[in-house]
Amino acid sequence: MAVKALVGCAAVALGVACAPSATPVARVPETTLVGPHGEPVALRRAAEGARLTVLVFFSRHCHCLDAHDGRIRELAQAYRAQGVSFAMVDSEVGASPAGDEAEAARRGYAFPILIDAGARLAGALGARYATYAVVLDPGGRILYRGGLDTDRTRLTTDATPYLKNAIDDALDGRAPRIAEGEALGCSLQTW
Amino acid sequence: MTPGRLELHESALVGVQLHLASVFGSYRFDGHYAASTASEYDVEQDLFGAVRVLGRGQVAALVPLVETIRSSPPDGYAEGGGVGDINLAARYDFVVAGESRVVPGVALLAGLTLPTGTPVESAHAAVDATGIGAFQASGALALEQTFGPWLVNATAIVAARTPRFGETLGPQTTLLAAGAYTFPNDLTTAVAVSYQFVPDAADAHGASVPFSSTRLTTVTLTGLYPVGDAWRLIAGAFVNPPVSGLGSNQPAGGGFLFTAVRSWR
Repeated sequence: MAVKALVGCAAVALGVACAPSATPVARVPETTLVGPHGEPVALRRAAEGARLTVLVFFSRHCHCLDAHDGRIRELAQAYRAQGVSFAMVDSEVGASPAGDEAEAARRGYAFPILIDAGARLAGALGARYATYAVVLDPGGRILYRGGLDTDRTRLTTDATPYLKNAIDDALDGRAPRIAEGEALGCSLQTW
Repeated sequence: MTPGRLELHESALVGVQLHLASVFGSYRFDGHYAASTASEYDVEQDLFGAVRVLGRGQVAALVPLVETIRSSPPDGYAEGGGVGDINLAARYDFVVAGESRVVPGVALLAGLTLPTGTPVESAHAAVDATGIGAFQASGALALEQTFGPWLVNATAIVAARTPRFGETLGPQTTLLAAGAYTFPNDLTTAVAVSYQFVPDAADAHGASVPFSSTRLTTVTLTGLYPVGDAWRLIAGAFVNPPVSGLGSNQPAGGGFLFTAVRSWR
């Protein structure tokens, strides 16, 4: 790990800023995101109002996310009646409420894209890739973090549905089968 | 420096590349292009692999299998070949393309090519030549950035060679510019232009060997299609444009390449 950090920071010698990295938190911070109409959305308070909250990190030009859109829509639809609330999180530079609202409409999202200005939430959660998802309980504790499943492009029948399993486990009051799965999307453009 | 570059989230890959080329002319020393009356066909099959190290680093190896078929009115038909010069390469991405809006992806590459092939000087026949007969150490800086579905890349490679047969080949500089577009179905098309320049070789006393410098321009068009998460297929065409001034002291040709890659996360 020390070697990795040393080599990574060699980027500074090239005049390149290092991307922020942090130890992921166990509970979402008291952060405020920006809603589709520019309204503030206090994340912890929003989580209190749902049985579970699922956040999925968004990237406008990521083909992997495009391939995951249908899976995200289906999960949101399937679990809405059970009190599971979905939202996308846009932590990328240049995000705007108007642009994200148009993207949500184009992609057929029945849930909002919330803007994470300055990528503070992404940094706190250790989210580096699009499709990175977290499942929160009403107290904002993170029950699952990582990818939706094991397939980057087309969903195959032998894929492991990490996010679906985590939601099912949480709704049944069990610990998740896997607490963290690999997210397979593009790098989030956060700086 | 090898076609075996790991993509994001991949930890290892192996692949095979088939390279079919036909020589249709040559650039004289003064850069004038002249069509050829002889025919030459070069076939190369490369086996390659890559493994991720240190998170953002990767090491790769490439083993070329070279076959040359040549036919000309005075010399007749000849064919030969064998194992070429094995290449070992390493790449470290300090910044991944797309991570920053302002700073492009920055990678440093290093390579070592071993003289495992047969140089023309020691080959039984010219068609048996499969290598340059010298160690070759190379370093490269690659910059690339994404703009939505577009990706642009600029790479500079410098390679130094050890002495061979009483002379030392000049350091080889390759400049590469490439652009790629990814369609919604994940098909990616790319165009690349490379310009390779080698100054005069030096003899055993360090004196320049006249008229030994070379230049070559190559244009390559490729298409890449991922077949599921684990496989990707690449097909392309390349050409040294038969235009005076785009090369010197080099044969000019064109051909096709086909690559299949199996990767693991």
